[in-house]
Amino acid sequence: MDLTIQSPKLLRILAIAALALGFFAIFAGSPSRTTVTLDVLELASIIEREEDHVSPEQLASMIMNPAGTFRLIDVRDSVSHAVYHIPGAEHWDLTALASVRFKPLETLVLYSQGGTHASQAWFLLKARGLRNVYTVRGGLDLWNARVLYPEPPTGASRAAKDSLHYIAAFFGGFLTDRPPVSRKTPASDHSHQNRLRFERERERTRDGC
Amino acid sequence: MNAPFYEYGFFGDNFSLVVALITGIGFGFFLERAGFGSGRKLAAQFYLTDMTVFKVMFTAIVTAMLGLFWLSWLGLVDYALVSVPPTYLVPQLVGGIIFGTGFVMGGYCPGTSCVASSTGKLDGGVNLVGMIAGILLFGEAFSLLESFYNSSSMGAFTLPQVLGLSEGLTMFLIVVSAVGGFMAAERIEARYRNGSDNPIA
Amino acid sequence: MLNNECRIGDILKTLLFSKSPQPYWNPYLAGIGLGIVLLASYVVMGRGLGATGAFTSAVSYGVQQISPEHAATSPFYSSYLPTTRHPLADWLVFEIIGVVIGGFLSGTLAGRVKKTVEKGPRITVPGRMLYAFVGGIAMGVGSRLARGCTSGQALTGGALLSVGSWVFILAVFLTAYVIAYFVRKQWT
Repeated sequence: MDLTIQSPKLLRILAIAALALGFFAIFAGSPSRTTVTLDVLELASIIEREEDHVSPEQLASMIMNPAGTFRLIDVRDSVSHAVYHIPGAEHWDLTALASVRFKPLETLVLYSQGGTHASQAWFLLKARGLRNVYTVRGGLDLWNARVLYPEPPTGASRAAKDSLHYIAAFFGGFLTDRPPVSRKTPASDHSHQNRLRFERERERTRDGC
Repeated sequence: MNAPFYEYGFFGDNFSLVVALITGIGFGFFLERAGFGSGRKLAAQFYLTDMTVFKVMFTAIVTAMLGLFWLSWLGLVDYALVSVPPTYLVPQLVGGIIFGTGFVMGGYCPGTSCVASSTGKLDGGVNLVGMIAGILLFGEAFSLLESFYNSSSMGAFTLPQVLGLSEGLTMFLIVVSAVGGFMAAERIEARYRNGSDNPIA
Repeated sequence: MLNNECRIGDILKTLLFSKSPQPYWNPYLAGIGLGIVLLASYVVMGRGLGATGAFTSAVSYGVQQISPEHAATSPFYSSYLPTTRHPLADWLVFEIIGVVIGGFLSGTLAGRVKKTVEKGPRITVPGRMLYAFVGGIAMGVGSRLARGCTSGQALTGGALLSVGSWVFILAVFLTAYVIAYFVRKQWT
């Protein structure tokens, strides 16, 4: 076939084909699907092996020393999210999580107040086929108790207490036996800076054209 | 089928560069096949003597648009994982105006100026150099332009959303417009072009 | 031995390089070809094509080499200078290298590679070069404002039905028709 020829017959066939494909698209509905197939055995074994969650301390470490990129997701209501959220956390409610486009290999870490909603969200996202989804064990309640306002264990060494205090201060909190002396603590500025830096880092590289 | 393949981790970033190279070769090949290595042919679009730019661009858009929809419908691609360029309405409008000026002045768009340069057109090379200068100019003036650059951001905003129509219907309307446009283009060419039907380089 | 080699070389040269220029493909078929390349890119990579992004990476890299501090403090350049990989190990940079190769390949096979200047009969070569350069500058600026060009916005964004991309296409076409009148000395 001579591809340089301007053949009216060929063009007519192409035009009809395009119009047909466009026409049938009206009745085809949306290509995205909300029904899924689940491998329940696989999900059960992930949970039993405890590969479905991270501890609050692990999350703190992931934020402070970013080795890889991940997305932190707050699944509570938007008011609670506005009042306080872990630095860098995005907000999505469960309905949004059922349909928002996530990349299949993205690492997602979910948290809620106590952990229940996050676990339900975990199940939804795993059902959608996402591979690397985790919850924060104990939710924000355990985050507050272990990271933000930790009580030093009895008999803890000075170094251990310093380390706990450093982590707490990074996020704007403090060790319970070292409360801040003034209202505007350097710690809260520090955490604001860190939060901004963390959030800006994630915006940085873009897929341009 | 788990596609887009890259999004499902079938290969990593290094191999994706090989994919990029191969894709680019296909891209450049078809651009030149259409005659877009010639600035005169590209500019002729805007003097109504040669509507190839319109025909090629909109055929490509319709082909890819319908192809993605139907492949997705068949379950062969997850089209939700294809990144839609975000909309920044006013900067894109103004950018389009400035770009359009440059297009007919320079005679090329960035992709075709590469094709022109690689097929020996010296003006294509000069056009490329100018484009690099323009990017540098933009970069240096960025602090002045930054707030405008980021204005009217609407995220991934699609025609079905703004028209309030289903995707299928929007696509059908685009196909109808394209086919109508092609028929009009044939008539316009016949009227304004004097001489042979298929001009050679 | 030497004679045979020369002959094969001559034959190849005749076959590939001294063809007289062939007619272009049917534009609709070329458009389908282009559309299939774009579709393949969506299916394999989950992204479309582009061009100006590659040049922006190159420019940002150049600026970084000359003055790393200037590049790092500019939000524009630094967004094209990722820390996790070399700035030129970028998808679009490799794609645009492919475009150059593909264009050359097609041109060679069709006998359309020739050192020449595309211009109309009423303008001089230096005049054309000036237009080409200034036009290039406008494209560089316009494409950055719009975050893409005909490849990245019009083709890629157009097929994905992005509103901003369609606005861009319309603006480009309408403006070009208007400005064409003012630069007609260059082309007609």
